[in-house]
Amino acid sequence: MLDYKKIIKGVFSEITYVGVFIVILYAVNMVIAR
Amino acid sequence: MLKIFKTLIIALVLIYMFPNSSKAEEYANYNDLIENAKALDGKRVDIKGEAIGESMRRGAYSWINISDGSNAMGIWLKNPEAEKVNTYGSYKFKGDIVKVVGTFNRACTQHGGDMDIHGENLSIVETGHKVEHQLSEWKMKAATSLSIITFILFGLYYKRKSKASLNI
Amino acid sequence: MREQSKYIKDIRTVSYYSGYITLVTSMLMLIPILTSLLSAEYNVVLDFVISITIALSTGIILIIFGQRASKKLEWKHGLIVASLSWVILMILCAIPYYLSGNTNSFLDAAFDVMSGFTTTGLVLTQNLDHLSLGLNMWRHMLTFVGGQGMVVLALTFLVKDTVGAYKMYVGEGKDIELVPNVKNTAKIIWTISMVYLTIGTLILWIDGMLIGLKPDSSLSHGLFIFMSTWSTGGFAPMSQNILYYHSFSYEIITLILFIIGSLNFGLHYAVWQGKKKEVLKNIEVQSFFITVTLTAFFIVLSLSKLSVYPNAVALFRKGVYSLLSAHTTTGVGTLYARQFALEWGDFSVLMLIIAMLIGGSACSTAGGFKGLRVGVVFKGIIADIRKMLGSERRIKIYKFHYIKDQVLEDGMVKSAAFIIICYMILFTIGTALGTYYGYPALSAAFEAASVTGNVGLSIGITTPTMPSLMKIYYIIAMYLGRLEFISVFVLIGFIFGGVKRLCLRYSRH
Repeated sequence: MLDYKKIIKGVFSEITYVGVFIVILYAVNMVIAR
Repeated sequence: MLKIFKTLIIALVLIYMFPNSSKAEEYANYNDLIENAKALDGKRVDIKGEAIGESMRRGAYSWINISDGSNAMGIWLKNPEAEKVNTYGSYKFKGDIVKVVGTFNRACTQHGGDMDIHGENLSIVETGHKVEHQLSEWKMKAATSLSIITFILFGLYYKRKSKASLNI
Repeated sequence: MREQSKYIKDIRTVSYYSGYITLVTSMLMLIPILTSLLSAEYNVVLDFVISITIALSTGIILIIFGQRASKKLEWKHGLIVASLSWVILMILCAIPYYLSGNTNSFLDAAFDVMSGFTTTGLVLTQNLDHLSLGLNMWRHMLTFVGGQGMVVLALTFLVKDTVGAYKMYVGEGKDIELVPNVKNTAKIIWTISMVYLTIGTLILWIDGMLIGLKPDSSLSHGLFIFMSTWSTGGFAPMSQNILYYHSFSYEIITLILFIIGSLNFGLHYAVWQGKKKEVLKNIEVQSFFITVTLTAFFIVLSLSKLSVYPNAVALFRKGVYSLLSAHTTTGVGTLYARQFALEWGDFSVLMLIIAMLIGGSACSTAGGFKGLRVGVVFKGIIADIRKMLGSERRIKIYKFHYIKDQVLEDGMVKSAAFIIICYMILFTIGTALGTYYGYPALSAAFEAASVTGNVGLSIGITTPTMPSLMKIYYIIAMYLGRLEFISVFVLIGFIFGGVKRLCLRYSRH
């Protein structure tokens, strides 16, 4: 069901998605804040 | 005689005429700082507390966090000042009590909005020491007797279990 | 008479399984014992030896009492075992706190334990900066295990009766079946958490050293902070919480960890199986994305209007960070509690309250209404409006995606709305109680939202000098919020049923 390759790939994609989300929020922050 | 007397009077007047502008407000309870943060923002403060945890070196400066007993506050200092602290508070140690004079920031521009103090100088008021945690006698007795009770109970459980399986 | 012996039989079954869960969870006390032995904190070792013997004895007594009972678990047994175990364990796990002398009363100790189990994160323990390594290990472990669930922990070791196991699992507030066998589901949940434990602790350890911590303290802090953020708990080893580190990089790592930690275990499993698209299609992720972005937008707008922070980076590190901590129901922070009341202004505080109530994902460590319910209710309302506007002859099926495509049924919308209402009632009573004791309305609401949503941010109300009734209410609210009401209602019903029988029995004589 779960092997090392899948786990590493899974963790990597989750961190990436969350990272992108944070960058989006950061961008929103930078644009609105004076 | 009169000349000496006049000079003395003028000197005394001069001394007391100028308020001690560099005298900072002394703080030992950080709630006062937090509650009045807006008013104290950017002002010089004199803060006293126990150094806790450890110092964190960031280039030419370091962070030390000091505690008033319930809250802790971050102090940003030049390394030579920070290095004056020898003992930091933890479970085993009471840290050095230090006095720092510096500028209080409600939301520091340099440090991402942290409430902190940019210290100019640090002095040790009381050196820290090791804290002895004496082994409590009643706890040792309690631990021993309770362990015995637990073993007996486990024994009881296994006895009943094997009895039940034998009956089948 | 027959009814009474059935009741006794029920008690025995409940006793057996509660005892089992108590036993397994009590074994966890070995970890702080080991930690304190290695750190030469011998008084702490004694505290935990006393505690573990009491806890194991309690577990064994419960098992012995239930040994003769039928091992078949009905739904009511499963739910009651889950809710009852949490109460028993709250008392047992408070013993080491109380023995350490760092809590002002046993009630305070129980409060901190419930705060840990429910991954809330409010703290009544004093002198955190001088806490033993053993006790700190225990606090953070409680939040890590509580996040997964004590029932989930016990189920991974269960050898028999997996049919009943699912009923206990649901009692703890989860219902997602990653795989048909609930024991394997529990194992997978633990695997996911342990993998992230390794990776997360490693990253925090390295960054900790880069920001100036010594290797040994960086490792212990890294482990503790991982456990606290992954479980969306909110504890930290130092009294300043994350402010202690004064580091943007450390904050970002905690941010990533607690956002990932707030996601549904089913989502993790799906992504790990290669179904990456799940992240974008899932209704909870969509709901979370929308509500976070909206609340963040308003908070940034309001905070910058009031010029609370000197620059945009500070605004992000304080404003957005606090919002994400609130919305994921984590509760870590880089601000002193009173600053929310003194500096943020009512509008931003209100945004935080809304974010805390909405909360994170279902079947995760997060609290609040949960994004799934918000999404389902919202879509349900849209569907109803469309039905009114559309032709009466057409029957339209509305769907949403949650791990798999599902039909939006009326029953689903009703249950989701029901639970949201329960949360709102819990929140309202908490707010009312706070105002009764003289706290300003918005502050009382903030603290009540933090408790109801198992968040952990404080506006300054939670202190050892807080009225005891409020402490008791907060404990109950954290407990109800985490277990999502049903299993606790069943427990209360069961107890009242027994009391009623007892009264009837005595009235007959």
